[in-house]
Amino acid sequence: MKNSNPILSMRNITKIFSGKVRANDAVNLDVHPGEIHALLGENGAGKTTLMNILSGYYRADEGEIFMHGKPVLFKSPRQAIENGIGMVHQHFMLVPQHTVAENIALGLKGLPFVFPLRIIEGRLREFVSKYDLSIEPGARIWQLSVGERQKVEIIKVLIRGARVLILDEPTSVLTPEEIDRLFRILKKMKAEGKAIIFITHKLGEVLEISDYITILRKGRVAASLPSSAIAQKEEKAKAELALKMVGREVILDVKKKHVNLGDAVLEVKDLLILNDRGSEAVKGISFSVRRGEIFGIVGVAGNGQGPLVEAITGHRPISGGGCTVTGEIGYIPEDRLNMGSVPDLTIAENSILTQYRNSCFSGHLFLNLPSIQEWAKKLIAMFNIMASGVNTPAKQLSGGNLQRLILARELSRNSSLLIAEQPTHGLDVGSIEYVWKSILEQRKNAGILLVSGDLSEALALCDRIGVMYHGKVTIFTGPFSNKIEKIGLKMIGM
Amino acid sequence: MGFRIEKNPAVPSRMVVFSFSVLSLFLASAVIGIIFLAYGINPIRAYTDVLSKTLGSFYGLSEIIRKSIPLLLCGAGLLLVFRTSFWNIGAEGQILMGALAATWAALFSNFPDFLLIPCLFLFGFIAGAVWGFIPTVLKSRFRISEVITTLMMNYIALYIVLFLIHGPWKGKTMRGFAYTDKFPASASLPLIGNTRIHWPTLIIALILVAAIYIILTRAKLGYEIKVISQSPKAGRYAGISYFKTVFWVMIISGGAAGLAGAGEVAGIHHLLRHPNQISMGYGYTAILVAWLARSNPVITIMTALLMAFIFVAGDTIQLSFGLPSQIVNVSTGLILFFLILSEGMMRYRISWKSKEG
Ligand SMILES: Nc1ncnc2c1ncn2[C@@H]1O[C@H](COP(=O)(O)OP(=O)(O)OP(=O)(O)O)[C@@H](O)[C@H]1O
Ligand SMILES: [Mg+2]
Repeated sequence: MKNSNPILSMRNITKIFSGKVRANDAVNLDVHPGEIHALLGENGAGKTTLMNILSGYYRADEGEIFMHGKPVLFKSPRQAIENGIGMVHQHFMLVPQHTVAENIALGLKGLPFVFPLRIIEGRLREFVSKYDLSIEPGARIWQLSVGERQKVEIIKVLIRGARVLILDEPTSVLTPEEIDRLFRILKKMKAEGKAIIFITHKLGEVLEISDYITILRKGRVAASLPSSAIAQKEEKAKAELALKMVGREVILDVKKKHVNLGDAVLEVKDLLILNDRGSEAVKGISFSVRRGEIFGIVGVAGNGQGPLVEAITGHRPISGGGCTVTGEIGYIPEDRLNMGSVPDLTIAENSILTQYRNSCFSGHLFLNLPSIQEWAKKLIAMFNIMASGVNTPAKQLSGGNLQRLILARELSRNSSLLIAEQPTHGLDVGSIEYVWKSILEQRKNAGILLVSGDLSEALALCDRIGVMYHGKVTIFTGPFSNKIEKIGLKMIGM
Repeated sequence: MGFRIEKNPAVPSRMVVFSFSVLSLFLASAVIGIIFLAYGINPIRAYTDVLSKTLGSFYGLSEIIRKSIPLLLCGAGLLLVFRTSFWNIGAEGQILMGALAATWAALFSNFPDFLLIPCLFLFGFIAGAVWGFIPTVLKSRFRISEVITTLMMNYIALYIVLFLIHGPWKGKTMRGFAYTDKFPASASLPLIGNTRIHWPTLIIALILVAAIYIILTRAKLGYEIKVISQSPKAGRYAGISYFKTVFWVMIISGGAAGLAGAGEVAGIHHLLRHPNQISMGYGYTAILVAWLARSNPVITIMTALLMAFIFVAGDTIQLSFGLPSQIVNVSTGLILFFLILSEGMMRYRISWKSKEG
């Protein structure tokens, strides 16, 4: 593959934010046609920044970009896409009220003034058959699942003629099935000679699909090597990659100390919940979570997990049965950008989002600003959050660091029930280790409801696992080593 | 070379905002100049005349300040409300209710003289706050759009005032005019020198601006406002009640408008008269005061002065050149139009590119 000329080269790219944060430091990157190039690195290593520069969202402070050997300068995403570079972001950028076709048409050139949507729908069909991307052009974005939204984002980029497709953590929000489907699409594109840059924290995926790997560390290239140069055995290969990324060995094998169980902190009995369309999303399930245990909810997304958590946290009415929570709830929501944080507010302001009424942070009328600052600093230190200060807007944090901020806030609350939805989404392997330890630590004074799409996470942490399928739950009690297959089958309703 | 207009993702800097605003004022003046020419008036002479009679004269300046008082009170309150996406266009009615309540205190209450002025402000505040509070109840209970209710309540307030001045409150000493009786001296606000600046209201307005600044930067309420204004979903997650927040905000904003109404009757008119004379659309213009200031209450001081200047300049033109009042309205409309246009323009940039690019 290295014999062909690179379609794209980045040379000595440096990006400095607000005069001090060196997000990228003399980075070089070569991408060849027909290559799937994995870009790895710790949270805050500069992956998203580098790709934002490549796709015209940011301008590099230093360095050059070459396409087919010719220097190019992108002043806007539009110019990048005109040159064949398109990016699907870590956080999607679709207009929820519009239809699929409308979203795809937005900003597309060369459309006639009247009836542009007909043309779009025609072209869409073409793509759908070519890449097996089934999607309904007339559907509105808000009605779509995350996986479907991602498809729309990908089509949006492809239809503009991208030859280099950038995917920023595309799989962290997908179910295993959807990941398989995505990979099939990527392989088709690769066969057509397109280049794909793929950011992920999941090392298994890297080994499965990538041809070449570049690892960033603290803004610099720490390693750049063909995937074939990595150890053949999966476990060894993962360890090797993790070492290169984090600079130390990562042991994702948590020791679970025994904790005595206390009273039930969550009691769910014959619970019945309706979804937005009025049909039964949760059909009479019962379980309880006791202080000191971790109860996992696993299942393919859309089998009632969302409404269940909404009902427990009081954001959705229950239509039958009962749900009793003893004490306070700490809640790590899956939607970290719209729900778990307010990106335009500062880190300090976000650090008290769920606790600002606490007497440590506010009196009757006023906030206690000094103690809030102290608190935010404490969280940053405790969870090793990479931030230039507590008064910078949270939106400047990298995806994983924002997740750490939310985790830090909710884990330090002393709640009696902790609900953690996909707690390690978007975290690098090093921080996953730390978060797992913190969750186990929480058992001392709380019961934990862990909602995870990652079965291996649930198997590693939980004492009991409830598999949700079509609004019903089947409960398995650990140890799970001889039940893994059964759990897997239950997840698909068998 | 070709060029293209594209969206500028960056938030415009203060310098950009300022220069765009100044530029839009110039453009508006140019267009208005054309209208003057059509009336056979030399625009250059007209502008020098207007400037010398407004910014260039003590009386003109004092009038600008006096008209900025109600604009500041209403504008600063609205700034708070608009951050919660509650579209209150009812400041006009809240002003009138404040004026009405203050009139009642001045004419029909039995407060001792030294308490009269504080009471009159207090009543103005309460009346405005109640008028602002009702639409929030209607929205939270019955989901009725606040745009409709606040607007309708302006008319209700207007007709209540009309009814009172034509009926039960019609002055005995006013020889058939639709006024109330004159306020007693103890209910008249002190003025600065021989201007019409009723300084107690001005001071209240400045205190309000400071208070709103403090609310937004360090009060719990301000924190709640910021969270729900950025993301309603995060607000629910944090357990913030949207309506509770809006209740308080509308009480503050309605109360502030009520204070403005009280100030107008007790400081300027010393009686209750036709609503259009009491308010002259301050409640609507204040929407622009709040909007131009974006989210910074301190800036409302500048935007209120700007709007007051436009008002006074309009009056001057009408008096000096005998232009019909409609032309003055068209001119103020043009200025506002260009200001709003510039606001939109700031969000775009022009990118030049060579043909081969
Ligand atoms: N707009 C910005 N302003 C200031 N600093 C920023 C901005 N965007 C990113 N940074 C900083 O640059 C660094 C790199 O961020 P980047 O988003 O590229 O990380 P990342 O490798 O994508 O991490 P993650 O895996 O967590 O998504 C971080 O320290 C981040 O705080
Ligand atoms: Mg990132």
